[in-house]
Amino acid sequence: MKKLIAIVLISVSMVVSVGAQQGDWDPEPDVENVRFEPLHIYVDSGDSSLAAYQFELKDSAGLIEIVGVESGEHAAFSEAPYYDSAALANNRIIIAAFNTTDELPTGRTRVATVHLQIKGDAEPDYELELTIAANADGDEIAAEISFEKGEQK
Amino acid sequence: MTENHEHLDGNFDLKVSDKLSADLKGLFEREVAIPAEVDRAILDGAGQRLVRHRRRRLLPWAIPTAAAAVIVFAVVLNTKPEPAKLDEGPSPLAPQRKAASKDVYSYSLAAMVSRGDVDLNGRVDILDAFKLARHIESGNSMNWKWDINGDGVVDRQDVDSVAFSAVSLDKGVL
Amino acid sequence: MESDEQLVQAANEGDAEAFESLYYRYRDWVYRLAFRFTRNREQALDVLQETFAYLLRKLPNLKLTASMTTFLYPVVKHVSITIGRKSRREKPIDEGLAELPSPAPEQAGASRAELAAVMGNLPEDQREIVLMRFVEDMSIDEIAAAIGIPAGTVKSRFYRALQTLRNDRRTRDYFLE
Repeated sequence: MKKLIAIVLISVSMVVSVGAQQGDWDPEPDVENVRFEPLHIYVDSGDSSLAAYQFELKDSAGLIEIVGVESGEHAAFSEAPYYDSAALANNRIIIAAFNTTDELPTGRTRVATVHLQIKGDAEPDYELELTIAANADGDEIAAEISFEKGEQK
Repeated sequence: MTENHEHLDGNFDLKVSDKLSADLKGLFEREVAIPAEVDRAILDGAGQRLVRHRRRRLLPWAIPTAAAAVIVFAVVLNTKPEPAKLDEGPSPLAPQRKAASKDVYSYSLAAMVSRGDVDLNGRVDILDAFKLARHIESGNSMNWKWDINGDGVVDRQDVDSVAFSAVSLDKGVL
Repeated sequence: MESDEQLVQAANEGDAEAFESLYYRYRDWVYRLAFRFTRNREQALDVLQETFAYLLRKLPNLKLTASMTTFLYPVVKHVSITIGRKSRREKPIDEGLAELPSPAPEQAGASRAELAAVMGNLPEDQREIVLMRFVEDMSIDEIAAAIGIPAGTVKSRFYRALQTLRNDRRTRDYFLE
């Protein structure tokens, strides 16, 4: 199956105030100390196969803006997951996906990568909650969710 | 010419003639001619959906029941939900407040399924989409209540509708 | 006359006539906006139907947290984009503008045809905001909420668009020194 990696990025324009011609009025609000960081989300389903997942990610500190969502590493979750587009440019998102085939991951697998814009130097206060993890029969299973930062997936 | 000041951050004045707005409207406001059949199609669909729900309310009245059941339905059907104000939290009709609301329309099985709660566990999540997808793939008989998007067929688009509802930040809305 | 909030509440409670009132109140606005996006009458009618079908599916939990036009604008836009992709037809904006009726005899200053030409040269994001402001009569905050961008960004794009119009000799006369 053709591996489809869907990356939805919203470009954030950061215009530095030009100044003299417009006097004191800045053409666009200054955004200082902005960095971009991918957050890799992992679900560990142990010996059970993972057929469906749903999680919620938010930043209590309000420092992040979600700019994109990338699919997972296993073929079962290689298509873009479901999420509310209203979450983009927001600091809270619910992401979910499922696969009805028999080729499912077990153990620890990266299910999605969330691309973030982070304002300022402080670290965001991530809250990550796994709402649903289910096997091929549609039965909820025990699983753990975690995240890793950085460019390496 | 009349003046129209466009204030940007209060520091900059652009004096724009009203003629600009008038000419832009003349250019971009099309003369609207909606065929009557389009109006009928849209409003008939609304009428069926809304009337159908209204019938669900009325059905209990028509069914002869024991005195206690009649009193319960009378209380239920005469209790109107509080109007949802713009700055309040989730609507009182939201399934999450099932214990508080007495609106029969909200909590009938058909209403739950029509909102994407395929497995009838009181919430819409990705498992509802998963189970609907598996049922469609199995080729088993379909239930019209699974026509989530109301297009007359139960297919992958209904699965997507349920999935998007599951991840909606405005939970409870399909 | 009932407010939009009252009609929405009544529609949430199953009142078909309330939905009908909302439909007729916003039908023309939705169609005009859809036509602006699609440049095609049939597609615009499809967008009209899809938009109100979407509104219907929101019942009985439809909640207005902004004006109706602010709520409907992104719906119409996204449905227009989807329908446009499905039809696999894209009309360049110049072609769409060429369909407009000939402008009235020129008065002193810019003619509508020249205004259309200058508008056609604006970047899409700036043109959209100018039209939302001057044709849809939406406030900066309503535009920001409808598009989903900060108000500061709306102001910036709006300012740049007006600067372009003011600096172009064809549309300079719309501005008062």
